[in-house]
Amino acid sequence: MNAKSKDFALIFTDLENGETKVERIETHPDRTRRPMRPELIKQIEAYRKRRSSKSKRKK
Amino acid sequence: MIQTPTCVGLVLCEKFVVEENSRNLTLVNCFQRLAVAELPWTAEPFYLYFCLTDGIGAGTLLVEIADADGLARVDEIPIAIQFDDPTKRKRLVASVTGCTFEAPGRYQVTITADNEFVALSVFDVELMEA
Repeated sequence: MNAKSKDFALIFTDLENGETKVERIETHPDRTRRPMRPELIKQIEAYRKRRSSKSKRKK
Repeated sequence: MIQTPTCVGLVLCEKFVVEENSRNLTLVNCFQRLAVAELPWTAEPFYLYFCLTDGIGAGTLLVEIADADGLARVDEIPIAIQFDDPTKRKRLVASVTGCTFEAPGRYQVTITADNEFVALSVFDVELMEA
């Protein structure tokens, strides 16, 4: 079997009637090695700063 | 996506079990550290569990695995998703297969929704001593 066809994500959604719908969707990962988007790196840095200032306030 | 979801928990695990009737999830061997025998190392398949809430509309989630400074991204998994009710939670499990790590150190898993940051978790890849 092709390794790519095994890649999947399961999404569990709780319905009004108490049941859970499960969707299985194929995913197609991109494993090209390259840097992350600079915009995302900035968002991660901002998140880390927010988290570190929050933990300092708790102390 | 009209409103970016919030993530409640992001966990890496080796296996998971879905109970047939309740569809409850059991995560098996959750980890934050991968011990490898040699480098580069292609990891055994593992899974990412995360739970999203407070989202509205349709969009694409992107799960990215990269080294700690973001310079070497090793995997990017796109997942199409639709949120109808922001008060409801969606639980997700994504498989990660054939992910190759070339160096030891800290790696990060990030989730974005239509390019907006949602969640971050880190794990370490360590070389086992012979």
